[in-house]
Amino acid sequence: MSSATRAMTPEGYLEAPPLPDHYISADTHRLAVRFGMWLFLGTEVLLFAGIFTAYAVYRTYYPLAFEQGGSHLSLIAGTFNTWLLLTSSFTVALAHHNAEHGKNRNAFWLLVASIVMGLGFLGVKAWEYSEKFREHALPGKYFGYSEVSAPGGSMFYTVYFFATGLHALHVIIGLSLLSWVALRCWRKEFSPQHYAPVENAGLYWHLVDLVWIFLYPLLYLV
Amino acid sequence: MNITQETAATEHATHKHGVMHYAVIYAILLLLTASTFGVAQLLKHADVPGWIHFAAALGIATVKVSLVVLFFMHLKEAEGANKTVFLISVVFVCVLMFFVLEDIRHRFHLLNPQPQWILQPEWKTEPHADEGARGFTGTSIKHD
Repeated sequence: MSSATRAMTPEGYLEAPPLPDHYISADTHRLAVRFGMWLFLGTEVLLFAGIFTAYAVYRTYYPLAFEQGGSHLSLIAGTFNTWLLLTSSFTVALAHHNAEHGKNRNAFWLLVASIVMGLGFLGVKAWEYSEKFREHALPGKYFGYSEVSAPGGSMFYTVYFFATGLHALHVIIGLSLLSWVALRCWRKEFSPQHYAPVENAGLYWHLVDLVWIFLYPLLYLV
Repeated sequence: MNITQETAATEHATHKHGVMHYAVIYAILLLLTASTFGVAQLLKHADVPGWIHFAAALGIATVKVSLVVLFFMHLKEAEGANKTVFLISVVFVCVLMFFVLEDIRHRFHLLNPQPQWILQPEWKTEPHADEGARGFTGTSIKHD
């Protein structure tokens, strides 16, 4: 790793990696990195917009099936998962705050707490999925759940599994990013001059939270 | 325009928050989660039209999302370019939703899929499916 060859600064951080030649200053570099991340988040928003549109369309076609399907999801599991993601978003925001002030150890433990909560989220989701599989509450021709008897019941589960599945994939990617920056916090890589990786991994994690904030009421509540 | 100067100014702005700032936002988010849960339970038992459920749930979700974006993601203090990118993508989401929904709501009725076109599990279409079949557990479903 390149970090092994970098020296420690007097304040106890690993020296920031050298600035690429095409930036006139560290500030323009930071601006470009942050802007790139927000552009990427914009595309992510549009990706999930497709799924939310599918939800809106099929809910308009089959209102009763969606109502029945939603009422047979575990409200407790969904609410607990909402709490987990909100809390992990909070700890990630604090980790960013600490990394920005060069407190790498604090940031490390906050990121570890966030990762544990993210894994908890996936665990609850896995339990919910296994329940749906057991009940044959599944999309398409695999649908065989008598509690959802209105026309279009299988479409509810298509939207449910596609939306929560894509979201869970983002949780897994987000957890990988958080683990990577946690490791770098442990090696004391971040300082007030260099903390963009924590900020960007954090932004990605917050986006995962944003999507869930909308999925939770749409699937579990209304 | 001097980009370096602008960035230096915004950099100073991002450093002023303490831990309490985030804790307050987190507390409000928890409160809003509890209220969306509570409101949904109340409305379920009240005799109100469906769109009120949606308006309440989506309204609270929008406030929560705004808090996360503005404070946890620091968009409030972000450079104008970043604000523009995010807000424009939100506008495009609204454009997509609005026109797709307006289309399906105002189509000639038969152009929308009819309930009988939707794939049903075999136990529902079997001529001998009686009340006993309602308790179907899914074990005897056949596919080809």
